[in-house]
Order: sequence, then C-alpha cells, then structure tokens
Amino acid sequence: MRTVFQNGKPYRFHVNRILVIGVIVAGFATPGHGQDLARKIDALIDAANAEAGQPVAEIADDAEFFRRVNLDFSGVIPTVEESKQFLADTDPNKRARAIDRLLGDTENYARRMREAFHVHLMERRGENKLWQAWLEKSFAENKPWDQITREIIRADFRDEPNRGAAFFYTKRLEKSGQNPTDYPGLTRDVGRLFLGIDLQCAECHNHRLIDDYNQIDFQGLFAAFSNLTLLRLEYPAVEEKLMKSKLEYASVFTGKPREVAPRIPGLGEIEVAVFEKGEEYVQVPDRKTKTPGVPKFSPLTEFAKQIPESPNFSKNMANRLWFLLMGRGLVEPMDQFHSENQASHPELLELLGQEFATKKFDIKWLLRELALTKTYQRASRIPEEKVAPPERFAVAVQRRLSAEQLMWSTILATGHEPDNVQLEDIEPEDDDADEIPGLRSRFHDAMANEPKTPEYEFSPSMKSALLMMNDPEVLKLIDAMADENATVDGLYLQIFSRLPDADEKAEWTKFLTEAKDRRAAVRDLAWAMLTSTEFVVNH
Amino acid sequence: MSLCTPAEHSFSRRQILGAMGSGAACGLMHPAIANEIAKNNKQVLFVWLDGGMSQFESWDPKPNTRFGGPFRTIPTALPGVHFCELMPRMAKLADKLSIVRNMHTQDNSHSAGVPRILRGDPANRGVTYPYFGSAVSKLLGPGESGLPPYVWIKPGSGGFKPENAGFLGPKHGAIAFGDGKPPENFSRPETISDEQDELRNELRRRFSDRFAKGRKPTANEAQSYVYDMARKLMSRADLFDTTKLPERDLDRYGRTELGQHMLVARNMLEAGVRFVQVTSYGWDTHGDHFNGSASLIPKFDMAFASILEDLEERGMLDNTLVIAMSEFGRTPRINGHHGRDHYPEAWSMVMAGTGLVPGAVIGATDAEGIYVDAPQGHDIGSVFHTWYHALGINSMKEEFYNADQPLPMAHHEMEPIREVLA
Amino acid sequence: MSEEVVAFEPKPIGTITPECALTTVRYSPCGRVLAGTGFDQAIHRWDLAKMENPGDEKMFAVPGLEKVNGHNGFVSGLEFHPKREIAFSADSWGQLKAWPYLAEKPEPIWALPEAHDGWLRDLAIGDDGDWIATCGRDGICRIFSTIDGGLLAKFGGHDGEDVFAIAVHPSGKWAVSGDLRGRILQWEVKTGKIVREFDGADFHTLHRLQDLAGLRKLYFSPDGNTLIAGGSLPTGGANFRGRAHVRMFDFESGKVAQDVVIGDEAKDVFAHDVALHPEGCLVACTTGQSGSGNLILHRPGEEEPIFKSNKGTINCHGLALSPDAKQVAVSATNRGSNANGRRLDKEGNYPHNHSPIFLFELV
Repeated sequence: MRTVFQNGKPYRFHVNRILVIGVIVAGFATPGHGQDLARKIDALIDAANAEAGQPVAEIADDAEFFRRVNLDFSGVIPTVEESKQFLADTDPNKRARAIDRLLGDTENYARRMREAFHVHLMERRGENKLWQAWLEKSFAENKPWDQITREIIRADFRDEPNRGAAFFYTKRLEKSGQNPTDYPGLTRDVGRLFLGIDLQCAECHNHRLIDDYNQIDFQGLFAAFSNLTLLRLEYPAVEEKLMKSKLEYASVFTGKPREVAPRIPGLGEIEVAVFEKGEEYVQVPDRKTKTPGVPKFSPLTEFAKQIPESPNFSKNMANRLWFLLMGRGLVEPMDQFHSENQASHPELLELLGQEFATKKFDIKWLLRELALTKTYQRASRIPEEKVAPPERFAVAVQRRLSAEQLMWSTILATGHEPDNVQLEDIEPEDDDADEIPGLRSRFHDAMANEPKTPEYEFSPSMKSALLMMNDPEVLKLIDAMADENATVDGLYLQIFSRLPDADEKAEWTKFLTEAKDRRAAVRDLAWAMLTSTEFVVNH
Repeated sequence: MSLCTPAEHSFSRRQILGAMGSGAACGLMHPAIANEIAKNNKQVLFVWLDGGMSQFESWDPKPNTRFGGPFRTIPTALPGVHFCELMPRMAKLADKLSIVRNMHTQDNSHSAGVPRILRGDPANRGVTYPYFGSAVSKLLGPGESGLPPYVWIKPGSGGFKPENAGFLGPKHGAIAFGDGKPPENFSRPETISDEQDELRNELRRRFSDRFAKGRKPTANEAQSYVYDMARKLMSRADLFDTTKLPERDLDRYGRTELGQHMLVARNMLEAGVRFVQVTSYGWDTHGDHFNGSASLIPKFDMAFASILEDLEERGMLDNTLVIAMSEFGRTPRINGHHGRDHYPEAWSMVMAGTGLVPGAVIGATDAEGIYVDAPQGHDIGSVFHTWYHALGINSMKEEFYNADQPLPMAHHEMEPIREVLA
Repeated sequence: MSEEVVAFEPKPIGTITPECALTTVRYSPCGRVLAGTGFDQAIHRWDLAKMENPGDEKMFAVPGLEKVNGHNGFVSGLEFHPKREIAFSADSWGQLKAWPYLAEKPEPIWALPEAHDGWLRDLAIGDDGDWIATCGRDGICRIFSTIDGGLLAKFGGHDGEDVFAIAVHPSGKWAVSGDLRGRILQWEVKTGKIVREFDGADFHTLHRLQDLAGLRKLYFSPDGNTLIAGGSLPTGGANFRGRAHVRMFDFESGKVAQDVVIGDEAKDVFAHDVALHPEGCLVACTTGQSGSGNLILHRPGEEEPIFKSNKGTINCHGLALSPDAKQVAVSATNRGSNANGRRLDKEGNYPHNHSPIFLFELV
C-alpha cells in the first residue's frame, strides 16, 4: 500500500483502483449517460475550427490519454500496472470508465484538487494546515462551488469545521514590512478569483480601458473587505468591525465625493443596518477570552448569500475548470471578463456557465463532462506541421505540471512509495543545526512560482534544472533505478507511461547492450527521461 | 497599484486588446535589425541603490543653504563641478561620468516607483513592460559567454525573477544571486564524473528533441534552455569566489556587502555576462539621514569607484554601459526625525561608458535643490531612450513586437538626452 | 545620586517659534540668554530677561537678540563658559568659535575654521572653564584653550571612528567620549591615556550596509558619581529604527547602574539630549517616527516616567535646564514635517520646517 502523510492524515494512491470501480459506479454517472454537454462542447469547438479551416489533431493514443487523465484527476502519473491494464483493455468504453474510476477515487481526487485549488486560490502565498484540511475535505465531499465560495467569503469562525476557509483572508491581511494592510489586494483577488474581473485599475477611478469596470465595483467590494480585522488566534480568523455608514470615496480624476454600501459587482447595494449602541452585536467581542465579536449587520453574510448570483460567478469557475483540463481558458487572461475581451468561444462559455449553475455548481460533474470531450482527448502533436493557435483547442496544450505533480510523479517513476521517502522537512534536535528539507520543500522551492504569481504557463527555471542535476536526495531516488535487469519497455512504462515505438526501442536497447556498466547506463537513461520535456509537461 | 496612475492614459483600445493573452511571440519589430543588435558586444552594469539615495549628499550638493545639510563639498576632476565630501573617490573620476542633475520622475512611493522606474515608465498600453535588464537580455541575448544574460546580485534571497520580464516572457527574467552566492544545488556531487554528466545530458537532449518533433517547440525550448544555462554557470563557480582575489582588491572595493557584491559583478562582466545588476538595500533614510549617509555613501563611493577604475583599466568601458541610480531622490526639506523623504521632482543619476560623452553634466537644480532647470527635467523615459541609444539601439525608430501589437521601446513622447550621447 | 527624588509637574510657560530647525538649546549661566543652533549656519538668541506674560499661551513673548552668523553647514554644538560671558559654538564643517554672548552684535573672540576635519559633533567645557573638549567625525578628540583657542591636547583612542559625544568629569581630570561603534572611553585629559571603557556596544549595530550609531549624548551628574549615556539601541537601518535609551553608569565602579527605556516603546527612537535635575530626576527629550517624540521626566529606579509631554513636543532634539533648574527648554519640530514629494503650501512655496521651543516651569 502506498501511503502519504499530509496534515497527519495518510494518503493512499494507486490502491488497486480497479477494485474501486465497483464501489463508485453505483453512485456516479455510468458511461454513456449524461454526456450531452460533452457532445455540445465538441460540436461548438469543431464548428469553429471547420469555419476557420483549422485542422485538428487526432485523438490521443491510449497511453497519452491515460497519463493525462491520471495527472489531472489524481495528480500523479499512473503506475506501471495501471498503464498495462489500461493499454490491454479492449473495452471501447474504457476511457469513460477510467475517468469515472479516477473521479471516484475520493482520496486521490481530493488531494489533487486541494493541490490545484490551493495554487489557484492562494497563489503560493503560504500554507496552513486547517486550510489544507478544509480544502481537501471540500473536494472529498464534492462540495458545490457555491458552497465552497460561501464558506470562504463568510469566513465564520463559529463554524468550526470550516474555519480553515478564513485563511484566504488572513494570509492576505498579514502585514508585510511597513506596508499598510493590503485590503485593496484582497478586494482585487476576490474579484479576480471568484468573478473573473481584475478591478485593480478601478480602485481610484473608473477603469480607463475597460468600460465594464467601474470604481463602484471595486469600492463596493472594498467596503466589506476593508471592514475586516485580522485576529491572532490559533486558527485563521477575521472579525467584521461595526459598519455605521457607507464607504466614502472619490475619483482621482473628478475628485467628486461618492459613497457606496457593500456591493457585489452586478448586484445591488446592501443597505447598511445601524443598531442602537449596545444592540449592535449578535455576539459581543471579549478580548479577555479571545472571543471575537459578531455584528448584527454582517456584510460578509450578505456577500456569501449573494455572490453566486453575480453575473460572472458560474462562468468564472467554468472557465477555470476548462483551463485546468485544457491548459488555456476560453477567456484569457482569466481575470479579464468584460465585453471588450470576448471568449474564444462565447457561446460555449455561456453554455458552460449555464449548465454548471443548473447542475448546482457540481465541480466533479463538469470535470467529467470536459474529460469526456474529444477536445480534451486530442493529441499534443500538431497535425500537418501547421500552426494551431492555442485558443482554437485543435491540439492538446503542453501543460505545466505543478511542483506537487512533479514530486509525486518523480517518486512513482523512480519506483518509490511515498511512505519510504522523506517528504516533509526534519527539524533538527540540535538548535544550531539546519533543518533538513524534505522532498516537498525541495520540489516546491525549485518548481513553484514566487508568491503571488499565478502558475498558468510552463516556465521552467534554472532552479529546476539544478535540482534535478545536483540535489543529493533527488539523485538518490534516481540511483535506486540502477538495475541491470531493467528493459527499455519497462523504463518507458514506468517513466513515460507508454511503450516505446520501434525506433526508440531499437536505439535504447542498443545503448544498454553496448554499455560497459549496464546498471549505470540504466540510471543515466532514467535520469535523462525524468529531465526530458516529455516528463515535465502534461501533454 | 502598479500600472494605473492618472498620468498614464494615452492608449489605444485596439492595441490593448491586441496584447491580451499574447503568447511567446515577442521581440523586435524587424527581425533583421534584431539580429544585427544581437551581434553587438555591449554589456551593462546597473547599480541600484534601493530606497532612494540623496542627491544632496552625493552628486548635487547645496552647501550652506536651508536644506543643504551638514556636509562640505569637494572639487572634482571636472572644473567647477563639486560633489559632496562623502564621495572623495568618485570626485576624482567625475570626468568619466555623465551626470544627470535634472531628473524629474512621476512616482514618490517605493512600491509603485521601483517597478515604474525599472520598466522605464512608458505610456500604458495594457501590458507590463520589461525591466531594462530583461529588455537587454532579450535584445542582446547571452552572447558568446553562454552565461545567463541578466544576472542580479543582491543581498538576501536569490532565485529566478520572471516578473521582471513583463511581456517578454518569464525566460527573460533575472537570475538573482542572493548575497552574491551561487544558487541552491549549484555544485555537482563528486560522485558524478564529467563523462557521466556529459552523457546524461546528451541522453536528455535526445529524449527531449524526439518528443518535440511534431509538437509546438516552445516547451522544449524552455526546458532545454534552463539546463544549458545551469550547466554553463556551474562551470564557472570561480565567478562567485572573491576569497582568492588580491587583498588590495578587497580593500579598494571595501570589505562591505556592497564591496563584495561589486567584485562578483566585476567577475561576471569579465566573464561576459550581458547585464549585471547590483542592488544595495537600505537607502530609504527617512530618519537620521545624515548619519545614515555618512555611513552609506562612502561605502558606495569605494565600491563604485573601484569597479569604474577597473573597467576603465581593462578597456571595458568602451563597450560597457555603467549606471548608478535609485527610484527617486530625497526631499530638500529635512523632517523632524532628521530624515529626508522621497523626492522624484528633482534628483540625480549617473552613467558612464559606452556610447556616452564622458564628463557631461546635464541639467541643474535651483539654488536650494527644489526645482529642476527645465520645466520637465528628464523623466525616466528619456533616460531609457538614452540607454538604448548608448547600446546602439535606436529606440526612437525600433519597436517591440508583442504578438501582433507594436510597442514603443520607451515612452513614445520622450527622446534620448542627446547631449550625453557620443 | 540623591535618594530623595522630588516629583515635578512641568507647567507650560510659553512657546518660542524660531524660523529654523534647532537641534541644540542652552541657557547662559546667568540665566538671561536662551540660545539655540541647528540647520541654518547661525546661532539664535532670546533675551529671557524681557519675557512677557509667562504662562499665557497667547500673549507670551520673548524678544529675540540678533542672530550670530559665520558658521557653515549645521551648527552642531553650543556651550557657555561657566564664569565668563563667552559662548562656544561648533559646526559640521569643523569650525569652533568663541564669542561674547551678551554683545549686541557679537564678533568672535577667536575662531578655528578647521578645529576638526569636518563634522565637529560635540563639545564640553572643563569645569574651571579654562579649556574645552571637542570630538568629531574625524575620529579625534581635542582639548582647546578657551582663552585663545590654542590646541592643548589630542586624543586618538577611537582609532579614527566617528566620535559622537564627549563629556568632562566635574573633577576636570577625565574626559569620556563615545563613538559610532558604541565604544565609550574614559581618558585622562592631561596625558590622553585611556583609563577604561564603558559598556556601550549595543548603541551600535550594522544593518545591511549601514553602521547605525545610537550614541548621542554623554553627561555627568553634577556630583560626578553618575555617567549618563543617551541615545538609541538600534535595531534597523535606512529609516533609523531603534529604542530610545538612557544608560546610567556608576562612575566609581564603571558598572551599569541602570538602563532606562525612555518614552513610548513603539514610537520613540532616540533620547537626543539628557540632563539630570539636581534633585535627581532624569530629564530627556526624544525623537521618533513622524509625529512622535516627548519631553520626559523619569525618576531613576521607576518603571514609568513621572511626566511625559503629549502636546506639541514632536521630535525634540534639544533640551536645556535653566541654571536654577526651575525651567526647562525643549526644541521640537513643527507638525507635518514629513512629506514625500514636492508638496507646496497655500502660497505655492516649498515649505521648510522649524523648531518651536517649549518652555516649562518645573514646580
């Protein structure tokens, strides 16, 4: 059994997934049903390509598909056994079955989604155990996106099981140096990440370039978020201050004073309810017992209720999930939803937004529909050497693997089990000694972006090359592969999750046969495969 | 707020939309000229005094005035030109410098001011412009050295800084050497021989190139690029080692953080690195400014004068553009904490080397250092044009090309400072 | 030190508003003249004998005497001869001057344009008034005759390090000087021989490129039993960060008798000037981040100060006790002294700062 410890909780991946099928099929969509959306998606994409005379790639072969879908839904390449079974399977419906099996493997699906949404929502700002646990539980339960959003936006410390959600706020409200608390940054991120609109330039005036973004949109959100106080408790928590009036602001261009109550873009203002002195609280704050206050008028409570009704709410997440599987949003940049920046396929975006809302924001359902499309399952090779602009979705994008996907895949590809490698940092007993970083930190430091930088594109850094070339712990993983009995087929299946073609097989068999030290040759071959472009992208 | 200020609203909607979501296709408008430029052997040393060095206590003193401060002035190698007494060695090298004493820029906050200055503060076209280092890295490339073209030596942590590159793409970001040291995992373990290393990388290339066949090439290019550069740099561990340099060098540069980093910078430039940025932090002297200056400026004076002397002695000033500046100057007014605050309205910066007139003193400030002589002074946009011209790039004529969007290289309403261009 | 410490309640007398920022204020020994120096190359004087309406905020007035010009840079030090009607002033270009402070238009009795190479930071008078001790950025301490400015002795024990403060023991036998690195050296005035070093290393730290010098003032109690070092224990550079601090040494043993954290923990960065009231109370003025700064009366041995001005006394650099110890003067800074960028006033002029001088009566 493969067990990974994260937040004190063990993970098992690749636990005879075949056995899991029986469990999940009953409660989940069976192949051949509920694929209406997938068909509609392909029809729209195909029609646009036909109209543009855009040739499209073939459907990816089984191995490419299987590697892709494993990386997407369990965050790691498949095991040799799984690949073998899948390649040998003759059922024409095996791809749908594989998708359902992976989505039904709650443990690995939830871990993968936690990793992906942590990067999406926190953009490498830092970690928090309660946040991670809450995120993972949310995906394990397949919480609808509106509920996840509500729990983040409301950030109610009284809701103990969901306290971790407040980390979205608390991390952003931490002071950095002598800078003031970054309420504008938090406001901007709520707009970007939940509504697909970057209101940065609307802070001080109506956006000069984008007619749809007005200063009131920024200020209406800001009214509620600048009303938060970061609390210093053992769990992430914020408190709403008493709000007694609307927020006053002025445009730097006109200087005209204006005011706005808390307001979500596209929706109405929330009337500020003022209570008599002594009557303002549901729960009066008590600093001695460290009990935060809860005002009767709580903009966050109202925001949490209303936010799913904001015009872009559903489309934003549909676009993000599309990006997660296709490597490019229908709207790009993903936080530039406005009338001057049309989606590459406007009708498709509308459709996805509507269907996602109709299905009550069921993330797993939408992911499944997307994975069932031909669009998702296309090869990453360009047909006829022709240029295929990425917004055509005519060919699979070579996608960035996250630091986490690369770490899990490297562990697996080198024949290790997550519970016999050092994943976490080791604190030394001697105070003066340095911490011994675990693989998680090593991969994170070399492969993750700097804090506050979204990870959208494949942009390797020199650090990643230095890690693979020189890091003693990584090299130790690879050294374990030095096995004179290894075969070219075996290495390809284990690392590339596919079999070599005839040329490849001939070339490397010759290389291994002629090697003076076959063990060393296997090791070097494995290293070269793990550092090759084929391994480090999801293609 | 980064891009958005009232001063920037000349734009074209079509251009902005053209830039949205643009991918890797960016560079110069005319590929033939781009090739020509890439052949030149120019290098840049960019010294950044983060937080804002005071013009009064350095290049443009105003002794015995209300705001002049405590220090004396000293004559320089340029007749009639005085520096503050805290810069005795630079005073002797003044005839090598081009001094701009009428800088007038737009932003008085650090968070916005630093990137604005480093990106040349062009008119807003809805894209993030590259830092000068990224632009030079893109235009001139790594050259024959094969070393990273944009190296940043700074105190504190190192790492890769893709955000510096703006629309040029992360590949043109800076490689930062924290505390002047090589990055993590810099040394190859002794257990791996040269032969094995050569072999494994040859194998890697074979796998990667086979994969790239028939696929969009950018992923493989990026992956191969970082390996090649990492290997090249690993072969030059000596660049980071100042311990073997003569004692005399260590003394001349000063046994300070900045002195050490400037020596690493000299090594990098000698090895052919295209663009070397050296940053010193801690110049934001809002409090106890004069004692702060008395400590900081002589250390800068030693390190900067030493590298200028050395570049000149090696004949490298002929092809190296040297720049020293901050994001703004400091206020004439002395606050209650005996500090000077941020002052973009009238300040100084210096340049030297290739393409410039040595000993040129451009512009002036009034008797108390409050106003620049011309109403506009020189904004960073015209300084960027000057730098590009000094490097042999006609930034008035050439344009960046980002996807299908043509972009001026520097502010389209500004011009180079002609008087300093040789 | 006196065991019987009296509590004071300083009572505002009035405010003098000079045109310039002043870093030093001093009373003449006769009590008639209050003088201050700062950033404008001049010495400012006021005739206290002609003070009108003390205690009346609006009607209060003190006529100024003519400014004394002839200095350069900052006028960094000012002391009065204990017996004769002579004042000594020093500037940041190294000049030291003696002049008759009661004269209508004082002409120098003597002047040494290059008493030091550069910033002359501090001066102290030998108790009998025959000589004056100086220190400065050139790293040297010097003893000059007060009669003719003749150089009597030099002390180079600070190895060229910038010397910020100097004090002379009431016996006249020793001087104590403190430098950028917090080295506080006691040396024999006659021979220049180092007697011992006091513990002041934490008045210095290196942050990034910057040596932060926290020592600002050395001061002997009138009985000579206590040496007081005032300044800041620095924590960070650029915008000098640190903790306003006064350290009291028992002069006989050389040991630290008490560390007094002066003023607001979060705000006050420097104790710039320190005096000891004859009845045993520390009087200090502090500066800090914009808007902070206090006049503080602190009884040694107690945690909390007995008085902390909270009105107007922003960023006080200069402090003086009147000769009869019944009055204290503190030079502060006008409100709104900080601003990034060129913010012009209503008339369109670029503003400059000045130092209101607050006078208090110690009751």
